[in-house]
Amino acid sequence: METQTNAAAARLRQILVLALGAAFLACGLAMLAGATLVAAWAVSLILTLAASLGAVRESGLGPFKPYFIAGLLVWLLAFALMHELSASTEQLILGLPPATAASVFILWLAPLFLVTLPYSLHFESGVLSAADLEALKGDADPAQVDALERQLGDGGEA
Amino acid sequence: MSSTIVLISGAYFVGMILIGLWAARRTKTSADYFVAGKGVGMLAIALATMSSAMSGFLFIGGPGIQYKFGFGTLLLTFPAAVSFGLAWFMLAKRMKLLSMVRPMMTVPDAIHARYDSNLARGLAAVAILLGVIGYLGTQTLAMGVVLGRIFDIPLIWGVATGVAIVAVYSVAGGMIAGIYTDMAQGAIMVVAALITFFLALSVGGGMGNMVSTIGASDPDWVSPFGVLGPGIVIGWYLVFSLGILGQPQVAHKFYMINDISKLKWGALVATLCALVASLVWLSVGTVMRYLVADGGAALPAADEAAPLFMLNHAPALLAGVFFAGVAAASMSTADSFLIIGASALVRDLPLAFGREPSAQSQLRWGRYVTLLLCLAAGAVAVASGELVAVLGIFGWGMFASALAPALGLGLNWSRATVQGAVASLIVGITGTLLLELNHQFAWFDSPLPGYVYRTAAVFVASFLSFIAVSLATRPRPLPRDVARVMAI
Repeated sequence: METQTNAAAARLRQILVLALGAAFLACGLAMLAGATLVAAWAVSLILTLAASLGAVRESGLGPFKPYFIAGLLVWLLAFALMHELSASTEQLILGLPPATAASVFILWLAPLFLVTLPYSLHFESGVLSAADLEALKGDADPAQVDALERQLGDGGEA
Repeated sequence: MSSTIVLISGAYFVGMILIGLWAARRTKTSADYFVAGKGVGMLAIALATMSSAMSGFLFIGGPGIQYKFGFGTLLLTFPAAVSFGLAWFMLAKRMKLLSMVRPMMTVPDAIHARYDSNLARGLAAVAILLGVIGYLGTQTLAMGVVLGRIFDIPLIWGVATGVAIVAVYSVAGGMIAGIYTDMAQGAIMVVAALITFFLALSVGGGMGNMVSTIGASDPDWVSPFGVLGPGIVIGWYLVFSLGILGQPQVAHKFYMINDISKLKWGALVATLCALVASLVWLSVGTVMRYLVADGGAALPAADEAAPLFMLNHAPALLAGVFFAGVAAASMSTADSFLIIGASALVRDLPLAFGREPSAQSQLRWGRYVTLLLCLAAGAVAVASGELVAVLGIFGWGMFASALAPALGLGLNWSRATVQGAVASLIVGITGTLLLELNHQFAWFDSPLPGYVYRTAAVFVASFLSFIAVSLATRPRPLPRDVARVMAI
């Protein structure tokens, strides 16, 4: 069973890396062609795929999936608004031209809530559990095992 | 310079030296010297990671290029909202777990554990040394600018003073001193940035007033892509967000945390502090540009934006905290890089050639080499004459292009091969070096259009070569412990 779940995680990682490769290729070509909105969207995809790759576990993306989907949509929207909205100072949103406001208030802040905060909120269920550390103990360098023991002994819910 | 500023800054420097001396008494082994004995708490790791990633680049270089190129430059600092999250998702757990199953001290150690290749380890060490030179140059230059302002001394003496202070606490206290001075400095950076932000808004009559005034004479400046245009700044956003995966000053701190469960809140704390610190970039560059657009004299150099704003518009107490904050930011990054550079020279390169120096020898030579790097960094800073930000961008770009694929992807993708890692390291090192040197010396016509950020092109090529070569070559079976770490 464990082998099957590990194989599923490995397959998902392989798919994510292939998608990452395609996104990098699209990004590079768009940069060279001067198609900046396409390049920006490719960057959005790259960042989402990278975060997803780091989050993959036996259960897939687990609790992070909805956050990453929302994050991708917000990035796509932010870059589209930065390209399409007016950059003139005739009308300001919180002191900034509309296009610049999209950059400051969406691109600057949104990833905090859609990538970084979920890491903390779902650490035990989505990143590392006490069972993970227990399983690792068998592989540990003997010189390092006491440190592992201490951490497990300190509550170790990790 | 007012005596208040001199007093506050002087007290700060004395404090840093005292931390260094305290740390020196606790530094007994090479593990203490290079990775702080792997016994550091969450807050210290988060603040130290933030301050060493943001650096003097944030306080001097950032407002400087904002002043010069406009709002587009914010896409160099906005990645902080996601970059720490990416580092924690992709590196934190695996780096710390690796250090629990094997003796790990440096980023090339992780590369070696993952690929079992001395060539990959050696190339990683070379990339680190090259990036360290750029980064140390920018940090010492920032220190020189600030100390010159505080004590009213020429740049060269400012650089010499800063190098001397950092040398004392880095040579004596190694990474233990580095981490705890970074922590103190990170806290100062956040406080100084927050107060400075509100002061800048007040001096400029609010963001709307500043933007309207600047926009009337330079509409590109206030656009989201600034004067440089979208091609360049979108490249920055990519390299400065995902590129964090290759930053050794960030990655190796994951070895140091004393309890892996404390990783939980680290990314959030580092990100929140970085976002607050970024307010300096946004506000000071804008207010100085506004003052020029409003009829003031243009600045003699863009890097003078922040120092001149504080001297001319801030109360002495705040200016003192700000200058201490800037010096703090520069020093915190410089000390991290000194130790990283020293470890590359005395540990990683000998290991890459199959020679394992004794722990005592690493500690002794680590201290000598740290001192030598201090002197070299001072020389680079004085000789460079570049904008502070430019050297910083080169350093970040070198680490990002050379190390991010092999480390960030490699630790999360078991199909990655040593050939893929070596290919991406070579593409990253040679590409960054060649394009940056050619940009300085114009040996040949650049193959890239002017609207493409050079490092972003190398960064993309490095990732593509890593993935393509890995897929085209046969993966080796992973050692059981490394496979287990990567499966968790």
